[in-house]
Amino acid sequence: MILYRENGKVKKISHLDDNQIIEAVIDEKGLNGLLRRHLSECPACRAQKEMLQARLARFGEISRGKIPLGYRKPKLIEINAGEMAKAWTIHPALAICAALAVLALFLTPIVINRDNLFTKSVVYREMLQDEKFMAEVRSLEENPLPSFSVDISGPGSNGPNIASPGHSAKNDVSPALKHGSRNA
Amino acid sequence: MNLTEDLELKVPPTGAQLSTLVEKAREGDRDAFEKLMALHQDEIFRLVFFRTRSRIDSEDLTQDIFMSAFKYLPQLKDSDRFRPWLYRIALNRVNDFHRKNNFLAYLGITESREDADVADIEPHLDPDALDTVIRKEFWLHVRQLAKRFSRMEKEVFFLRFVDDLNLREIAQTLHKSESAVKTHLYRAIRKFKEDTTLSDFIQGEWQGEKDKPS
Ligand SMILES: [Zn+2]
Repeated sequence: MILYRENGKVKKISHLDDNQIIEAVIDEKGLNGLLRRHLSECPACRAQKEMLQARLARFGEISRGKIPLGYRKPKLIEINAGEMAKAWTIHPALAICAALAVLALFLTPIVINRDNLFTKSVVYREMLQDEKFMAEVRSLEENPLPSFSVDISGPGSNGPNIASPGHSAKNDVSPALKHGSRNA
Repeated sequence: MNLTEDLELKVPPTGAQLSTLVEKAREGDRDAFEKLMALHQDEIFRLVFFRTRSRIDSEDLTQDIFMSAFKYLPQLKDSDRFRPWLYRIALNRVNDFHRKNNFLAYLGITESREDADVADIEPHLDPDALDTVIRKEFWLHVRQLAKRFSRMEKEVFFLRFVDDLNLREIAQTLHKSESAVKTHLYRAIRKFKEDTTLSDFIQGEWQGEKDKPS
């Protein structure tokens, strides 16, 4: 049983808890004197601490072990002070341009609302289609027959007048039809 | 004390020997700096490689780190703090590298390093290496764990258990108080402990592989 004072309160525990084990792993000397004494005397707590320590050590061992052998060793390259300073200095204008570019990139999604842009393009496309449709409607109003029928209608004839080969049907349309007075 | 002979015999230098080397290098002694470089190149390369998982990038960054160290060494006031100071340069360079890479990946100029974890490790060069699949699984677990860490928890945890720095060195590297380092380390270890998948992996499968008769 360990009786110790923490934050002005007396605490009574049988063994170190998980948090105290972690504290012991980090810095055993930093532990409360009574806890430290218990740790040194209690095999159960000692085992807990050593198990966590071993796990962390193993983690480090695996992580460290995986470096490529025969890597290129660093060399002290002969660079005079001026060149070194030049290599590490960024021209102020370049820095400002880079900063503006970054800012522009980050602001792009905010300034241009892509959904809005998409919606607008759809509306414009629909408006153009409407315009085309209305043009067709106006044309139909003026020429109730489809263009094919208009083309095959001969001047002053009630029956079909099939255009002879070698003749453009368009050229066969009478001036009257061209002026929309066919039904008059 | 014969500093040169000791270093050539690969005897780990004492703190006083290191300080002497740092002071000489600070005055422009290239030989002294080359010795410092030889003493620290493996640990710096390891630090970079652990954080980039790319051999070529690690080689370039290690070169950059030592060139920066040589350039800025006259600014180091306390020669006893050379190691944390060098680690700080290394961490800054690695963070710059990740920032640049993430930015280029964001622009679509390069690919994200996310999947590069084991790609650059050459198994034939590492006879004691774990099987590739197991290694890949290990790095997946590490990545998952790292995602649960705050930035400071990550730095502190890896500096302590992978780079093997003590609390004082970590505090000096990160310019934090030792008590702040302890707090971050405490939180990170809690998360590590709670990560039963990684713990089981470390204890079980890896140990099993290691114990297999060759
Ligand atoms: Zn106990």
